[in-house]
Amino acid sequence: MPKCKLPECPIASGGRCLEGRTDDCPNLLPESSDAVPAPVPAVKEKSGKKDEETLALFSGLPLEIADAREFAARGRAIVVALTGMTESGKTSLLARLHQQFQAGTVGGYAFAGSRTLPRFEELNWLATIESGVGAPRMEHTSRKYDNSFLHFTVLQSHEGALPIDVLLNDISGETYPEAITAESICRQLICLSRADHLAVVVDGAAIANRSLRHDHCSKAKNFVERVLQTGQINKATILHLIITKLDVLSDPAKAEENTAAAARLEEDFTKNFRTKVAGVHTWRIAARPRDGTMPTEESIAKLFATWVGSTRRYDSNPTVLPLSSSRGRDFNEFGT
Amino acid sequence: MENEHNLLIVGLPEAGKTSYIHAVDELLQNPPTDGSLKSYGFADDRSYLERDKKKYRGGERLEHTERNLQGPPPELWFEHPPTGQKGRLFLPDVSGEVFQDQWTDRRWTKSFQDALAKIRGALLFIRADTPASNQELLGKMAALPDDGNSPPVAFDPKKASAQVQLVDVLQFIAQRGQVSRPLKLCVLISAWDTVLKPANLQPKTPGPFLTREWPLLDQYLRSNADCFSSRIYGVSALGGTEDEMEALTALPPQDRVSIVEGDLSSKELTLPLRWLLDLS
Repeated sequence: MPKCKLPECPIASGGRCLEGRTDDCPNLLPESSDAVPAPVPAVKEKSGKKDEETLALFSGLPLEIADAREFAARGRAIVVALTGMTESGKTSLLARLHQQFQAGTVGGYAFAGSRTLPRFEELNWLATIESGVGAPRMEHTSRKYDNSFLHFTVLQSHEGALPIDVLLNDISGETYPEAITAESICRQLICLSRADHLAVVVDGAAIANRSLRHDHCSKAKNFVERVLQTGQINKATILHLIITKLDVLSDPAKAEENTAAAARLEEDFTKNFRTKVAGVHTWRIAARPRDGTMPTEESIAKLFATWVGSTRRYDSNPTVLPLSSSRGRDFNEFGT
Repeated sequence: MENEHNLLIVGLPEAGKTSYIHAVDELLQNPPTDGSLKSYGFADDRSYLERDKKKYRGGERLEHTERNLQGPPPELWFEHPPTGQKGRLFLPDVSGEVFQDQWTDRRWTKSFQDALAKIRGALLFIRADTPASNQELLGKMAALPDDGNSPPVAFDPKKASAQVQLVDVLQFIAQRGQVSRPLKLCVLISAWDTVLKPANLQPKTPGPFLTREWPLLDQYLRSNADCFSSRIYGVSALGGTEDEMEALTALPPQDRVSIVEGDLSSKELTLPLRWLLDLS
């Protein structure tokens, strides 16, 4: 029977993986292992000077749930789950946030740190001149990151402001339709249960395409219906509908039809869900436009500020930080 | 026995670290004012400093520091005339590749971590004439048709944006190094002479320059005042660009250098050291 580093994971007793992963779960221990391994020890390896002892630093990879728990326990931590079809623009949006912080504050929040800078740089690589691509590209998010997080620590500019950890869960485009199809797959999206915000990302280029429009719009609603039904989101969750690729949507040749279709989806979304969640926000963005215009940085900054600033979990201006574990919908409830 | 002071010098390759150390050595031997830090003698072993001294004095570009340089670190003996304090300053000229390796490999040597526990402060070097971030394909550049014929270069962490790499190195120091808090840190913007060229429209004072040109690093330092207490300087340790050195070498090295703090310019390249060592 496989064993897991996470003590509460039921996989060792024949249950399903706490994080819904398969054999590639980094928390799985070899079958012969009886104990949770100690932290990575100092090792002797080639590091320039022969045989010099080296020590591991944090990996820079997306954070596991166990890491996220630590952040949630130390103070104010906002969890945002992003979901949508493959190529809907989720990763472009995350890479755009990283780029915007490299240019200054975002939505009134200053960059105060990140445990996943290498991953952010990797995500953005194919949109840089240095990568040698002719036009920006974006890698697809692998399923293995379905229950992991990119991370920022941010700080508001006023005196006495406390750091806020923002944990961004990028659910792969492959998992999204499967979660609609099968409740069991949906339930494997463990992070959703702690999400303060669920952002459903809809590809504006698909809305502009009549053969894709109706399926993409329906799937956005179906996904929310599914996670409401499973109880993974509820009245504590703030819902966002993000229509991406505004540049394609606004193509003058079909702008009227496309805009009407987008508006219809926004209206349906709001009407269907506003009484079932803490709030519904709709956004139209272009994180990486291809029509010669610049990204909609202002609306993306506003979106980010809404994620960080509006939450049912914390007071808007806390003087004392509530521990995350003292509230409902916590990481500690995962898998139970 | 005089006090010994260890400083950490941080920067990616070619950031101007070695030139600054040579410039400080020259300034200690030729202090610009009576109150400036000055040398009161030479360390027993000056092999590191003397190796490239001729090149530095001759206005030549210094070769990049080897990753595994053997021998003792540069040691400078200084006296602070206003207080009479004397001390020995250790400035290990760590190769920029060592920091890049930390970012890439996500490890550092135990000896590096142990050395951090003894540092009094840090000097962080960035260059005024190199971009802080990789350039994105945006606007019209992103609208060009992609013929798909040029396969992309695979992501190599070493090619990540400079300010991102440096912020992560600072995060390692703040979170894993047992350093005093807040750690005094001077940001030295080298090649500052390039900023002062008439055609250059960048901010002419170091603080605003950092805010505009290295925003992620600037935000990180401002947001982590409990970890780092920072000051920002513009430094020209050579005095000018390679093209200008022929004319500049008419002057002795200590007269070519300049440093800017706020809107004040001087030749007191030891200003950052004085702040780090609490010698006002």
